[in-house]
Amino acid sequence: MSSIFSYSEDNGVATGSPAKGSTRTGSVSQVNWKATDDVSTNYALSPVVAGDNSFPKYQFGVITGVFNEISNGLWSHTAGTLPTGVSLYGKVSSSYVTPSQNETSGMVDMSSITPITSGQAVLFSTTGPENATPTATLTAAGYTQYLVSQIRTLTNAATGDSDSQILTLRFSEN
Amino acid sequence: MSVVKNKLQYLWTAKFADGTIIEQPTNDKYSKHDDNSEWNPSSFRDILDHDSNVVLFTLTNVDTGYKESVRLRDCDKLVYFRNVEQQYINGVAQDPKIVSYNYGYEFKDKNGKTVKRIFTINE
Repeated sequence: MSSIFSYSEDNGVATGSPAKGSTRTGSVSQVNWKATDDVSTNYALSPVVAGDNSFPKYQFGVITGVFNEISNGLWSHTAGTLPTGVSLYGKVSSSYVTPSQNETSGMVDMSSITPITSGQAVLFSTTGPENATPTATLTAAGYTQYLVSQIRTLTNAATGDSDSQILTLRFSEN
Repeated sequence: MSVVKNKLQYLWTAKFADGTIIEQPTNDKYSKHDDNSEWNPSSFRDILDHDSNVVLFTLTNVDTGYKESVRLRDCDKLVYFRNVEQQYINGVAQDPKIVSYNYGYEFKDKNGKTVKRIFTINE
């Protein structure tokens, strides 16, 4: 027995202080980039039009169960080649902004494969991904920061699904 | 919701300077585990709680019995952690997996610099 991990996702208008999504969905099992800001809409029914961007996905980890300390969080695009005209952007952040299909600010181009050991650092909080002062370690049940990702396309992007991509979150536990 | 699916392939044993030996239980539960709480410390907390230095730390493979050990001096602080990875493959969340067991120690050298010696067993 060790830690118990699940993903959650925030959607909707930024609300509260610190801001978070007006809708928070737990036990999320997919990250499908699409032209709708929610968890449940089938991406095939809300495709990203070539030349547009997807809505950003504000996902975060929820960690409970049995652990003494969680630390050394890292996040990276570790496998998969994106098609011509399609790019994956992302950032680790404690800030939630009302999602739109405009380019989300502060993101880095994650299209190329990056070993997890060179991934973006992920911090933690016991109160939520929106906590403005996350810490390097977690010593009680808590959350990762937001792992924000967005697909951006050019007008020459081919139609259809992209090839399989792998996003990896790593953390240490004892 | 996903529990780290692969079982603990290596269990630790800690021997202390006062002769006490603590073994990691397979369920990794702390000696003061509260079944009513959503979170509990792991059994590693029992090592941290013990009022004596660890002098020998051993990882044992639960299937083969293979052992890896490290001896600690009085000035050494035990380091132990597992690396866990959770992946999205083609947009679908996978169960988290333990990818390595890391153990060793850290100490301050004569200049006050922290030195870490960590050994890694990859899964």
